[in-house]
Amino acid sequence: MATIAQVRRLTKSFGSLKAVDELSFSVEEGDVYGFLGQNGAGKSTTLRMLLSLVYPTSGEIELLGLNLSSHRKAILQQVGAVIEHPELYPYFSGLENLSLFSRLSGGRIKRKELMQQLELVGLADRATDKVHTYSMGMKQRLGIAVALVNDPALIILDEPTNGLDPQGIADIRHLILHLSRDRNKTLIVSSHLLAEMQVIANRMLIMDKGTKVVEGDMSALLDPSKTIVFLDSTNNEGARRMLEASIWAKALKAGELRPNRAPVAPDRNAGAQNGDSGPIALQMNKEDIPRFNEALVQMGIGVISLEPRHSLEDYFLQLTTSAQHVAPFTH
Amino acid sequence: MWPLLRIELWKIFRKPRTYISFVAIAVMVWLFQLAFYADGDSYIRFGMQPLTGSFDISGKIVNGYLVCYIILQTFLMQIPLLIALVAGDMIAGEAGLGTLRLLLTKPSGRGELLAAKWGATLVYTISLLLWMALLGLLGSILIFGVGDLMILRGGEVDIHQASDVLWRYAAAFGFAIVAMMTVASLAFLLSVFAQNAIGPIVTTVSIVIVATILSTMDIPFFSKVKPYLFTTHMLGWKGFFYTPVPYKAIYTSLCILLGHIFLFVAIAWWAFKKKDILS
Repeated sequence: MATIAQVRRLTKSFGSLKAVDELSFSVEEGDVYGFLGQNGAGKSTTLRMLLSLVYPTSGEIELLGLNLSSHRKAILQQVGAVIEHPELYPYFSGLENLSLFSRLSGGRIKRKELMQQLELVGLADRATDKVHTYSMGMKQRLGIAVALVNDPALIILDEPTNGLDPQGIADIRHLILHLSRDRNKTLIVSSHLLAEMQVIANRMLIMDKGTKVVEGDMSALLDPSKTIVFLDSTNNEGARRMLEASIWAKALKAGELRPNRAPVAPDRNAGAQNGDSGPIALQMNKEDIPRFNEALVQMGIGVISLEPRHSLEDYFLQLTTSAQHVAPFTH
Repeated sequence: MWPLLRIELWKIFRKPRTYISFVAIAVMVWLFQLAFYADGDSYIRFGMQPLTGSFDISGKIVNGYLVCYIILQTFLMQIPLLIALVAGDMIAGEAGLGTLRLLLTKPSGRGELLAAKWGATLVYTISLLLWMALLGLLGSILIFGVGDLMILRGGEVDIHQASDVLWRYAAAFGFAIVAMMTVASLAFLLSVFAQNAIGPIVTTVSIVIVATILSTMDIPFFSKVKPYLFTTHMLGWKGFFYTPVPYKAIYTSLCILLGHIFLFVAIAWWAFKKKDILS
């Protein structure tokens, strides 16, 4: 499988602010590659650098086997993109906008083919209406049609579901999956919504403050054998000692040694200040959780809560809690 | 380059704002012509008062050529506002609308896009002046007829035979295109640095007003700056109606205006090529 995007040590500074810091990743052919991170994490800046909208301070970008700085035109002929809200010309119809951008992409596509593109995004019946009469979801879909107009090998979508209603989100999601599965397109999609990424992406990169937190296959990040279980009990310190001496000691060690440790919210740290250690993290197979629950009862541990979380959620909550100080364990 | 230029022209002439300028010029010219048609002789008599002591002026002075000259003299300092309305919108308007980033994700280069946009601005400016020529010259000729052109210059009078006037207008409109393109290029340059069109439009008009004041004020302190201000040379078209025509002064004015255009466009090109598109 060919590498579609290869990014090495990409850095972008705006004055003293490092928006992207030494970021490296690769996207393989056929991937739906998810960029996940809070607002301000550096996702949009990275995607803008992939499109030459923003110039990197340092680092290297290779797209479709070519260096971006020296082959910009050749690369962009094979790339379609929607960055943030696809604002189009409001005084043109959807069809006219599509025609305009098809000519900018280097070709003059026939009306019939343009209509097929509009049909793909569900806008054929509104093709001749002025864009200022479109809803946000329709504009978003038209933006994707514009991105697809030159039949690109790589499609870059920055926050494609931002500001959409649930139906609009579902439409975009189906479209992305259709492009990936039925048309074999490679997509790079950014979002700050974990649930959305879980559904559409097969590989993911989580960013925070311009740096990579984790990159990997979604199947590995959602691996049920690596489920993190957070145990909160009436006496966490005592529970920890009992678990260390039990068959769950290995799970306890794996949980504590996991690379991405979500911080515990201040209110849940109250116990730790009184000599308690706060909730205990264990890593185990999801199927073992009922057995673990029984074991806790048999050991006489007063369970307040047991919260299973796969590693992806754990990574993401690490970001959200550190950025917003929201309690990760609230019920 | 040509497909890009065609696209830019398509965008300009499909935008309702573009036609504000054409409508404004039509209204101004028609009001002027109406006023002259109703009471032009009184206006001319008032304007000729300084000469009536020395000359005996008789016959029909008001004709299409004279009305057009007065229209040009009156409006050519107001037209920059209408030019800035479109030129200031060329880049900043796209940035404000959010379409600039979409345009630049397409394969055409930034330099090509900028050249196409400047070319479209040039076409718009020429169209606007041709429209003014059509209404101001052709319209006035149709309403008032033709005749010898008599114009006042300080205490002097220049009189041109009717057969000797049309080429002067052609040259004057050609010069006006260069003068207006200087203003358009300034608005275009400011447009590169802004995120919405209002800033460059207002700034361009402000600069033109301030520079015009500096150009017209007879204060020795500004006398060293005045020859280099583009506003000092924007009315150089009048030279084509003098006897004899001051070709050297006109050539100097043209060079200074073209120099300004080159400078404004070069800075715009340099800044746009380097700019991070964050809008």
